[in-house]
Amino acid sequence: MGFKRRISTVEEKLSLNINTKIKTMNPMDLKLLKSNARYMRHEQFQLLVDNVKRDGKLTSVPFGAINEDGTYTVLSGNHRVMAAIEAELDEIEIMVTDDELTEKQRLAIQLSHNSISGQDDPDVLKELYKSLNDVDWQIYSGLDDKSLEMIEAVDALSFSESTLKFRTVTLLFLPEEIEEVESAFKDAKELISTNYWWLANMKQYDDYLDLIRGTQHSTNVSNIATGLMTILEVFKKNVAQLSDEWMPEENFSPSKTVPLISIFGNDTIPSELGRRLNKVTDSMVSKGLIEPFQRHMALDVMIWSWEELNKRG
Amino acid sequence: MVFKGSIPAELKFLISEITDNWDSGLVNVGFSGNFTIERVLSQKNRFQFYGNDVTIFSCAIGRYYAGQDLNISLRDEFRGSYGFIEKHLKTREGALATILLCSKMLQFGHISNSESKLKNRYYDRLQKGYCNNWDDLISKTSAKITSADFILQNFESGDVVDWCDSLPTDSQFISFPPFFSGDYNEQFKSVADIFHWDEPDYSEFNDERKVKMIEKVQTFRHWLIGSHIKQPELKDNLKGLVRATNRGASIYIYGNTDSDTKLVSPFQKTEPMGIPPMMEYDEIGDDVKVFKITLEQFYGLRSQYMNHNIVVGQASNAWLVVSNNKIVGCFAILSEMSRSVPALLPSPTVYLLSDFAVNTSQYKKLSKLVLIALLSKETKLMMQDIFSQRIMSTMTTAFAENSTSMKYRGLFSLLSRKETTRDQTGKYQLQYGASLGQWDLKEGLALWKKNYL
Repeated sequence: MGFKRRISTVEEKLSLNINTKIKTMNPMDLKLLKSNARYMRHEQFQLLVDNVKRDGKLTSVPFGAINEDGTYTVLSGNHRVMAAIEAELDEIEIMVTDDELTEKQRLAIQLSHNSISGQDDPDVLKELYKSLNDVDWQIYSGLDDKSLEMIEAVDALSFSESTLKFRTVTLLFLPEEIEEVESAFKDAKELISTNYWWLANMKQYDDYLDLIRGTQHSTNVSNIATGLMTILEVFKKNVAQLSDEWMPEENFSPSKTVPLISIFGNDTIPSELGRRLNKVTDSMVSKGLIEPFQRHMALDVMIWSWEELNKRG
Repeated sequence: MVFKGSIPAELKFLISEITDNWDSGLVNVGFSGNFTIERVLSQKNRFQFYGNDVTIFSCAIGRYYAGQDLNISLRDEFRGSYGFIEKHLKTREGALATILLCSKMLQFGHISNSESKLKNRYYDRLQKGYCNNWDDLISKTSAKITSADFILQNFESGDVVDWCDSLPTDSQFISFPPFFSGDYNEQFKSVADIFHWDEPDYSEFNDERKVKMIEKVQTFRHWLIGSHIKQPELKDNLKGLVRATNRGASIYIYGNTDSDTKLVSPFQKTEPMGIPPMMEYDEIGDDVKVFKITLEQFYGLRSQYMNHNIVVGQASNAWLVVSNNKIVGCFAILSEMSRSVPALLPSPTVYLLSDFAVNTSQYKKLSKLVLIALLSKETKLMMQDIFSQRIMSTMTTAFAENSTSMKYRGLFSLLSRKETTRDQTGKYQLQYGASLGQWDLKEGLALWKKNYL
């Protein structure tokens, strides 16, 4: 095919005239596009429905193309047709073509009707909008003072009450399979900026969630921080059970130190008892029973005395 | 009364704009509330204010800034529970700071009363926090009160309609009355309960009183009034309308000033997803994934694929369901745990706000895949991460013409069914629930292929 002939074919295709006519149809009888890139936000669509209801008809016509079965598919104006259905209009006017359009032609028309549209000069738009000077017609226009940037921030004097201060604690749990926990911890620290980071593995995470759930049920409080504090309270009450961690033979190591709280359930003693204990310890040091730098060995003497006493019955 | 902090920023601007051509001098404000109107207009430096209200909160502020006595003392019966607040009531600043802080501390009711529904560890902890920090809170609040460059010409604690009668009609009047009768009493009841104070006499501000007030307001030289319902008799005086959100109340602003009309409509920002939806020629692959998406992306998808008639509440978190890098659908939940969960459902429970599939695919039961993805272990883990607590189940409400919802049937249990009068949305209101974490996504996809393909 010669060059001139090819040009001519393209021209023929482009210059193909479409025959159109205005038809009055029930919007329910029209087929809508299966796939449409153009969408309307909820509030925009409701506004369109309100305008259609107010007018009692569509004031701009959609465009449809005939299908093989004689029905029409709306190529542009799908939302207008949907709004007409929503507004319960029995009839709308639609521009249609009975010409046999190719799939590509139909798609090109669909896209062009959305993409080839003008743009607004914002200053002219504001002036026109302002000249409406009627709230109802401003609503109808689909514009508002905020979208046109005609609302400014207004300062107001403040004398509000001060509020309680809260601090944030982030509990960070990582899957067990993550090998380099320390490295992950470092990364996480860089990502999250709160006051503390705690790290635990996935199993502990599950246990933690179950404990929180248990406190929520028991206390009827859904607040997580309160749940966590309840867990701590229960822990405090049962802290002596910590000895279960180091007492069993398999965990026991004579050279390690253990917290007194795990024995006494408390890390403090009454002051009178403290005074007496201090006095007895001083006495043991002065008599050379224990070294001054090992005052805790006073307990060893006391235990020995108790055991001896028991032996004698 | 305008509720604490309830005047949207846009409304403040409208009030400021519409009063721009008012005369300098006295502005009478009915239902001063938390004095937002006075505080906004005081920035113009050309008005003096005469405030009015009836609550202990507003009366304390009004009387303080009008130079009147506050006369507030703690009731004997509350000395045990709230004794810690008493010592600062002796000074005017201290008394006002005490009322402002009490309005916050007691906003949910009495937390110390053993009969209170709020008697639990959370509120005990909150009250302990206030008790331990009270002196510091009073000191900081007092500093704010004394440093505020704000004076009221006068303050009238009493009935707004009677007060209108006493004002000269050649003055200016502005008011945003309470939306519902009795609102103004309820909000500060728990604060008023614990104090002796000079309570004003007033009639309940019911619809009849509101009509009377609107009539009187129109006799002033300049006037501005806000209402949450349209006032047909003031049609020619409609100066503005503010509706900040889709589910929020509309506030109509009426006035007799020759100023430009103003409109603020809801606008829900949307964002594109950056991934195409499943089209007719796309097939479900061997995997399905769930991603957290922004609320703007969710609003975009919702606008495209969900019924426009459904006004959805404010979502807190949303997820996208994807297969073969194409959008299958999405789901979103509310921020708060559901409180009244039927016994059938393990709690804690999140409320499923919306779920939908794209309508561009070849698959008729794609919405089931969205639900299957929602009920997966992966989704459960993500939700638990967000809420920092165990999440066991989800529940939702469907409106349908039939007594069961085809979408939820088979995956969710029907928890309750009742007939509704809301005929646009369906004959039945159906409540459905399901346990979360029933399968992983791979198992879920296999289940969908087996049962719904």
